[in-house]
Amino acid sequence: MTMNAWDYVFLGRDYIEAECPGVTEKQLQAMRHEFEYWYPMDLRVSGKDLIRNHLTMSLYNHASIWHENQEQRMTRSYFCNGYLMLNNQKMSKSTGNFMSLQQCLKQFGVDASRVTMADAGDLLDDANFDIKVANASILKLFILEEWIQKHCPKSFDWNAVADSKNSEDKFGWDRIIDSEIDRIVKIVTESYAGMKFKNVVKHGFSELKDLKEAYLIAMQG
Amino acid sequence: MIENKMAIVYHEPEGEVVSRSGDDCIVALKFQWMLSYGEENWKNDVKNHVESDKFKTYNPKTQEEFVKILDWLREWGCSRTAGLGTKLPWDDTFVVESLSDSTIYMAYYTVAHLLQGGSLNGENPG
Repeated sequence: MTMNAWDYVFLGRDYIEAECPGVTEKQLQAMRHEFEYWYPMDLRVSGKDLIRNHLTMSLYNHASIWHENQEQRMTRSYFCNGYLMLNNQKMSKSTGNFMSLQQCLKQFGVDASRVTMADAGDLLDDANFDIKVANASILKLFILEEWIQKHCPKSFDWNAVADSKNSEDKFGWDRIIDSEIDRIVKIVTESYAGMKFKNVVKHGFSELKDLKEAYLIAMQG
Repeated sequence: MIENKMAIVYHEPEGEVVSRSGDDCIVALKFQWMLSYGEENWKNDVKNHVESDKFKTYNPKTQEEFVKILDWLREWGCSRTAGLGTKLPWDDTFVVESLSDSTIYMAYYTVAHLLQGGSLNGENPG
């Protein structure tokens, strides 16, 4: 790849055969197509310690290389996070307070690991992965799964329930639940868009789960 | 005092410098290439983007931090003589320093799969 070849891919310059030995215009066209499909970058996630050097320099160098076309090429968003703590202490190999992603998945499973990490804390503060939360998450997910399998098997006829709902909803509980779900969906959608995953767990998991319990108690009369 | 040769300008590193392998380092001031991140036009291009509605940081604190850094950042060494790297196009005794080298690799990532010929360890040219 020569300078001219890169200019063709990244800057949309013309193909000059003599300056691109060993590479055809068709090959470069395919690369340009990929680049123009993916750029500009929508999101870059990185540590807060890189704001003052790497991330800012990346903006500078994008602005310089794509000077003529900044509007279409500049990175659209940066999300910066703090460091990850383990059980309220700094992760450090020398003290043994350390866990790799693989160890984590093996110990707690994918779902509980996800919930615990989402709940560990957002934004610039250091996030804390708490083993107690991870263990509790396994339990909560297990109980919920059990309940779903028992009461909503795969063969469950959701349409029939939807049709009969209004006639049976004597005390308006179904309507309350519907409205609550709508409210929570809105909060969760906004939280996801704003990268506030702790909020997602709080409303999309815990609050919905509590809502389900409240509903079941109400229906028992 | 400097003019009267009664004093000289003296710099020293802020703290002790220790390498990743644990050795004490001696810091030397040597020739190297710098990028002038403080240059007004360049800085304003970046600043306008950061402050526009086309750039999002999800967090006012992060946003504030970026704006602050833009006013602080000045010359930054972008070359070095040791280690792996891309040679500086205009001076091949230097390679591009790693922080500077990593600022547009996301553009490379969009085409890397075509250059690597479907293998990650470089066994096939693309």
